[in-house]
Formats: sequence, structure tokens, C-alpha cells
Amino acid sequence: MKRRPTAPRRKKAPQRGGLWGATEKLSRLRKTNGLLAYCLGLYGFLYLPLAVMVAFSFNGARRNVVWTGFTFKWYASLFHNAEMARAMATTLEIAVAASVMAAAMGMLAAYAMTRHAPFRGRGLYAALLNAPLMMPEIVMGVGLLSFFSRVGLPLNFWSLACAHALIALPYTTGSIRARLLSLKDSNLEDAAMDLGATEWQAFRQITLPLARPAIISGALLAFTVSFEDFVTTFFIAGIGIVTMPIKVYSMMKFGVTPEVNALASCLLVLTIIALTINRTLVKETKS
Amino acid sequence: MADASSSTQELASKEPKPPSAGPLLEVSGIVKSFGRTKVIAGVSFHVAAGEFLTLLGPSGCGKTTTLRIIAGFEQADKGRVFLKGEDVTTRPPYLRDVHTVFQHYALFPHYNVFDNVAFGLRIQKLPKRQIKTRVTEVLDLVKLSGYEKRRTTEMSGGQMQRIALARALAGRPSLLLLDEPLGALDLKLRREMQLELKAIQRRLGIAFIYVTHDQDEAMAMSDRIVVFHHGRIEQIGTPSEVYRKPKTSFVADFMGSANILSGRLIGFKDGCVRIRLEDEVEVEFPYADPLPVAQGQALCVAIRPERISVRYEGDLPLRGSCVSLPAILADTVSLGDETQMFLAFFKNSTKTVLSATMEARHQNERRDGTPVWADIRWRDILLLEPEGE
Repeated sequence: MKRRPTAPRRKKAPQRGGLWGATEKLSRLRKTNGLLAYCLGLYGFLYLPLAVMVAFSFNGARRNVVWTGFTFKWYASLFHNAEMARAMATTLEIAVAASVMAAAMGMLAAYAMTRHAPFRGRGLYAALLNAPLMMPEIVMGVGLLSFFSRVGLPLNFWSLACAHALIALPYTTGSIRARLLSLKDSNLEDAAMDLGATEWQAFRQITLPLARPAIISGALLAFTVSFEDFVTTFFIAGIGIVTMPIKVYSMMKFGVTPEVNALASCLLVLTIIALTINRTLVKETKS
Repeated sequence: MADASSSTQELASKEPKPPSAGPLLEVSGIVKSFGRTKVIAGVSFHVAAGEFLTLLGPSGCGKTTTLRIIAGFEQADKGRVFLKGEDVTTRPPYLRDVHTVFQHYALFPHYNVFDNVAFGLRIQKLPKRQIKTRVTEVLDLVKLSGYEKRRTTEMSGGQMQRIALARALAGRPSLLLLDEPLGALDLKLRREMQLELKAIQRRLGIAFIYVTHDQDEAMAMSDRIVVFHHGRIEQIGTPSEVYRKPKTSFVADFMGSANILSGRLIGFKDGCVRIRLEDEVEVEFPYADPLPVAQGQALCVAIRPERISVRYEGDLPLRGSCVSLPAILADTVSLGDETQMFLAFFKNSTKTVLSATMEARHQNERRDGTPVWADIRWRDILLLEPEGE
């Protein structure tokens, strides 16, 4: 009881700083302020252009300089533009076809990498599958173009979808492979076969349902990869196939119009939705 | 069996077993390597119908791999596996009448309890009604009735273990393989589950092959124990055989603890052996069992700590049929009810011999360095082959 009076004084002590405390505080302040400024600068550089773009897609004026009032008219004209609608449809169709192909092939590749008995050159096999991730897309584009023209394959919807599936394959394989590895550790397929399931039944009833979140999240990544691909598409898209990124590029030739802003904003929203679904799926697999 | 409930009777009265003379399972000459490491170096044993056989050994001794070869998850490099007289060596796991309880349960997380237990029955395409009665039966057996609709991911470790057991039993295998099934449970729960598992095994009459590294568990549950060490079998026998008549110093030390001394057989006459311990102390005593080595050769001598009784100067010696050796008390450690005394028998070696006793009189500590007498009954001195390598 007697000690009580000392307690408040002790609490106060560190606040009285004197000269030493002041300089320390200042340097700490400088440190945090410096860090804050750096972060603000970086994030500003990252996201301010996007914010400006989204904002100006609602701007009444035709030029991107002054703000004259809020409007939806660019979105309206975008959605009434038949060419634009066709480009959007083409892009979506190609992205769906490419992501389905990439997911299916990714599943097979991941299964081989994790379930097949060790074979010679398995490391090389896995590395070669991941190579498109590192390869400059120009190389892919040129290579595919000369391949298609040499072999005599027509440059059409399907050749483009296949090319996109190829670029997206490392993403689906990686996502599914991680999941299959963790499933392998838990002996679930062994347990199913132990109870009488054939390898195929174990795959259908245990592996596939449990790998589904990883397959979907891989496919979503593949979808965004295909959706936004410009370089490869630019090289090998045949005549008459115009995807969204190509369309935006051609529109840009006439300057950054509010329609381009509106279009880019739509793509941004789509990407955010896809990434959010992907995140939640990844979280689900981990739990 | 007469008072067993109808459900277990139904479970136990599996298809009538053919009156085969051979064992239920026979493993012969199994060899298995992973890369360059030889995990199993020639293992053979058999399991009789309804027997509880334990594969016991320290981790990495090859017991789990042996189990996986029996289940069909791994293929042996050499050797054969016979199930009910049929060669199943190369058969895939789904064509073997054997089910496994996995160490980490391996329950299907996307199924509820009922669907987990029913999995094998649905694969067999049993009629729906029969599946329902069977699942109810086994869940009743493992005391989890009423949990059918629960998700397995929200159950405790003990409960998951019971579901894994129920799932393996639902298919009514003639042989159940259990891979350290209680390893992840805490001690108290483990003791409970040991008794329960043993009771279930007796009631159903299914043969169990049980893998564990816990010798107490093996002693408590098994009909016979197979002791593994470095991919080989050191000894096969009933728990009391393995404990009382260990064949090797590894077994002696692994089953309970033992003082392992090096010795040399220097004489054998009229049923009496003469042994030189640690090249120093000579003892002579009658020995009835066959000797592990020829005269003049080195051997191992194992004596269990609880079989050495210590007396002080002036105490009455143990009456008859024992050897008495003078020693110096090197250290005394009190572990609550048990007292451990370290005795120095030898002048040339610092090796001490441990004696463990529950006697209260040893608890009032004597000073280290006190001369004492150690009495060891003849039959408690185990003569073993010298340690390999």
C-alpha cells in the first residue's frame, strides 16, 4: 500500500526527455517520416495513374486535361460500340478456351510430376514446363508465328487460344502441383486405394475434388494471363481477330480518349474480381 | 462371444474362413531399398488368423515400410507376400483383403463421418440399406454413434482415430494394418485407446499387424512381437519371451532397459558357466539354456536394473541361487518412488552398472563411495550373442 505513490512518478519518467530525448524523438520522427514519404511515393506512382485514369473515365470533357463534370457517357458509348463489343467477346472466348486447356494440361502435368514414379529427366521435364514464365514474350511470339506459318496452320481463333494456353500453362501447373504435393503427404489416395478404390476411382473421388480449388485458381490466373496478353497476340493474331488489348492499342493511336479510360477501368475491375476469387480459393486450400 | 452384442457378432461372423492350414499372412525374404539406402534387409514372418502381431523398433528400422509392402503401397525389391496362401506380392492395394489405419488418420476432409466410413462399401457397390447398417454398426463399435453428419475436420484427434478405425473395419478385412495409430495422441488417451483397440480386436477376431516404437504399447497389446532393428528382425516372440529371454543385446535394451556388459566365456563344466566380465571380474553360475557362443569367445551379458539387489555391509545376503559381487556405490538418484543406484564393479573401466529398486530403505541416501554388495539371481543373468558391427 505504501508503495503506491511511487507508481505514477515512474510512469512519467520516460516522457521527460531533456535535450537527449528531443534529439532521439526527432531522429525517430525523421526515420518514420522518411519511410512514410518513400511508401507514399512508391504507392502513389503505382496507383495514382490508375486512379486518374478511372476518374477521367467519368469526366465530361473530351480532353484529359480539365474536369468539367461527372458523366457515364463514355461507358455508354463504349457499350454501344459494336467493334468494341466484338473485341470483348473475342477476348473472353479466347481466355475461356485458353484457361480450360491450360487447366486440363496443367492437371495432367502436375499429376505426372507428383504421382508418377521417379523417371529419368523429371527435373528437366518440370523445368522445361516452367520455361515460358522466364522466356521473353517476343521470343514466344516470333517462334510461334514462324512455327505456325512453316507448318501451315492457319492463324485463327484456335491457334491463338492454344498459344495463350501455352503461356498460361506454368501458372496452372504450379498452382495444381503445390496442392497435389500436400495431398500426397496426407496419404488420402493410399487410403482410398486401401479401401478398394482403383487408381482412377481414387483420382475421381478424392484427388480431383480436393484439388478443385487449386485447379480453379490456376485457371483464373490463366484467364487473366490470356485476357491481358498483348505481345504474343500481336504477333500471331490472324486478320480479323482483335482482342481487347490490341483494340486499346489501336485506339491509343488517336490519343488517350475517355473511351480508352473507360475501357481500361472495366478491365481493371475484371482483373480485381479475378484476383480476389483466386485469393479466396488459395486461402480455402490452405485451411 | 455369447454375451457380445448382436452387431459385433454379425461383424465377427465374416464369411466362413476356409479351413486352410497355413498362416493368414506370410512375408518371406523381403528386401527393399530407397535409392541407395537399404531399408529392409531380408525380413520374414507370418501372422495367424485372429492374431495381434506387433512390429516394434526404433524409428527408421523398416517397420512402416514393411507394413506398406503388405498393404501394397510399396513393391518389395525381393521376397514375396502371401495372403491366405495366395501370392499377392505384385497385387495393387485395392485387390488385397487388407485395410490400413494410417498414422495421421488420412480421413477424407471433403466427406462427413458417415461418408468416410461408407467409402469402401460404396466402392464395393453394396446396397444402400446394407451400407447404412454396416456404418451404424462400426460407429457403434468405436463409440461414435450420432456423429454421422459431423465434418471430420472439426473432430478431436482421438475421435478422428476412431473414425479411421471404423472406416478400416467397415469393409470387414481379415487383416488390419495399423501404422502407429496412437502416435499423435497424448499419453492418457493412448492408454485408453490401447485397451479399447485390444478389446475390439478380440471381439472381432480380426488379425492385427500393429506398428509402434513404444515397447510398453507392444507389451500391453500383442500376442507376439517382432523386434526390428536396422531393417532386420532381431527376435520374434511373445511379450514375455522377448522380455525375459531376449536373443540380442539390442532386444534386451529396447524391451525395458538393461545393463549390457562385454564378457568372455572362459569355462563351461557340469552345467556351470564361467564368465569374465569387462576383462576383469570373473563369475561362475549354473546356466541351463543353450549357450550363444563357443568356449573362449566373446559375448554380451545383459542384466536388468530391477534385477540387481543392493545390500550394505552387515545386511543378510539374498538366499541361494545368486551371485554376489562387491561394488562401490558411485551415485544415487531418487526418482520419487524408484531409486537408481549406479555401481562401480570394475577397477580398469569407468563403466557403471545401474540398479533400480522400489525399496524404501535405499532412499535415505548413502554417501557415494560406500562399499556395497550386489546380488543377482543366476536366472537374471542373460547371455547373448556379441553385438554385430
